[in-house]
Amino acid sequence: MLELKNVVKRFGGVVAVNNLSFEVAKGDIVALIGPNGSGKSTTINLITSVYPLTAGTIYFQEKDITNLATHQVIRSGIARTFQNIRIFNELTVWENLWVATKHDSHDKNIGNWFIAGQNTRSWLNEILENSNLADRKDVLAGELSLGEARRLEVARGMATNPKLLMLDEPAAGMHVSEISGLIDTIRSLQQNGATILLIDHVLDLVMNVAQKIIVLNFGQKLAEGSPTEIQANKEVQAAYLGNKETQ
Amino acid sequence: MEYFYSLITQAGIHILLGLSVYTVALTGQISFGQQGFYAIGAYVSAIATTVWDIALLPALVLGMGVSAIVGVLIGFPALRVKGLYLAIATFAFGEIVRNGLNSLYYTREVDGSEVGPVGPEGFRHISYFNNNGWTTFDVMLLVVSVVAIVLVLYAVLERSRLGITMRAVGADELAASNSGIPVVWIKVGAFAIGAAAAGLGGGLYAHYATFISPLAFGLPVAIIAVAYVLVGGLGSWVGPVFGVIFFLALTEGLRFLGEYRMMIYGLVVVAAMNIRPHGFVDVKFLRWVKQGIRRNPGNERKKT
Repeated sequence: MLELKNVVKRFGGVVAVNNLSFEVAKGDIVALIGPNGSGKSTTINLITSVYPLTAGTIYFQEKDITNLATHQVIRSGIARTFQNIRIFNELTVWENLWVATKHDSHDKNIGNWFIAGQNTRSWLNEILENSNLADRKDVLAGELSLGEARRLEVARGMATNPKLLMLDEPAAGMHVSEISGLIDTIRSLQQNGATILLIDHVLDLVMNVAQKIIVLNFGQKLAEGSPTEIQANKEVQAAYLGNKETQ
Repeated sequence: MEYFYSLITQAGIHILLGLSVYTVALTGQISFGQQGFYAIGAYVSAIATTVWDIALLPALVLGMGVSAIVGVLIGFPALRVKGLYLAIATFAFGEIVRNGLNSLYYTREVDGSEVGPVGPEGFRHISYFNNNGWTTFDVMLLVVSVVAIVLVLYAVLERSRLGITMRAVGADELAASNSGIPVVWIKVGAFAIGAAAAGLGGGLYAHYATFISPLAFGLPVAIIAVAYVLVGGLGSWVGPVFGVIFFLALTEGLRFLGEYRMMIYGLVVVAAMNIRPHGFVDVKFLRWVKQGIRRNPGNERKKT
């Protein structure tokens, strides 16, 4: 579904992502892990064209999306969240979702440029129900708690009707007790047909939900495989999980 | 009475100018160049009625349209820069327009006198109202009706998807583009709508004043237009309207102070910005008003 081929990103003299290639298959949950500064968030920003690539190509559903503008990448079916939550604080929860829907995705008449049609309404209300935000729909997003804000960000991504959802550290700032809820959310998103690219430091989460893990280090791919393979990989242990022999 | 008609007319024209800055500000940009669109609207519609003999309404629409088109053309390059740089770029645009008008000579002889813009000497005899027997009251009525229509359109725009999308872009461009919003188009669109509002205001101003010159479209206009929005607030169209009334009431209400007027004027503006740093009508204020109405359905007036 998503394929990165020899992707390179340089910021001045710093190589943030170096010759990175990987694939995300339809219906999978793929995790991208690695130490701080290993290029995980940069990779997401490259996929959504926040930064232009220095070299390489990105394909989504067999189409080259390398040179699309950010909003075009999103409209092609990729949604994302941010490491530091970025919701529209001065809009209500409902408005946050509304602006993310495509104007004619659910109601075809021109009126939907201005007001939300019946289909758009029921589509967004369903997302709010699933995100457990239905009773907060008229609250300003800036007044939400951290957990609610995270759920809203995911919900806003879902409002774009994505085929691929990229979650950038969804467990950041969460209490351990909240993580099991997050695991359930991610699994239910997958069951509803979404493909997920997950970035996180919380290994409990990653090992629990991911079918495939890609480990980055200094912008390069260090390893790729199933959670058990990654846990057994000596190089990964040394670079990321902690080398027991040296401890 | 004439004095009050005149005040209300001026307030109406300045509300359009304030709305033009407000529209651009919704998408997170501050423009110091709206007086350029104001000038374009003024000159185009005044040329249309005096030199080309076109009726007032089509002339106003023409001025508005030309301003909006220039807005789109300027919007694309100008909106590549942000913040202070955009403020300077838009101000430069305003100055280019003003200097362009200084060298605009386009006259025609009508009933024995030359009409049309004469460079720095300005543009005299914009006498559409006079020729057609309009009184000060009629002019006020026209301006009030035009402003009322524009405000209704703004109220609709703000509740619409387009208006909310503009706010989203203003709040966080990165989050907006990553939610599928075409940020550049929304910003240019807001710039064009703002330019149209300023152009309409300019057209009304030219015909109300009967004489315009490039001097009338300089930095002071840019600053006061931005001040309407900063003091009034960005919560809704009520903000710039409030800003205009606030400044007008201050200018007129402090006349009794004589030479101390401008000093007190400055102090009051500083105090207002200290009390309400985000302007009087901000988003939180509006929420508070709406919640008040909801809590006390029978007690609306008291709460608001």
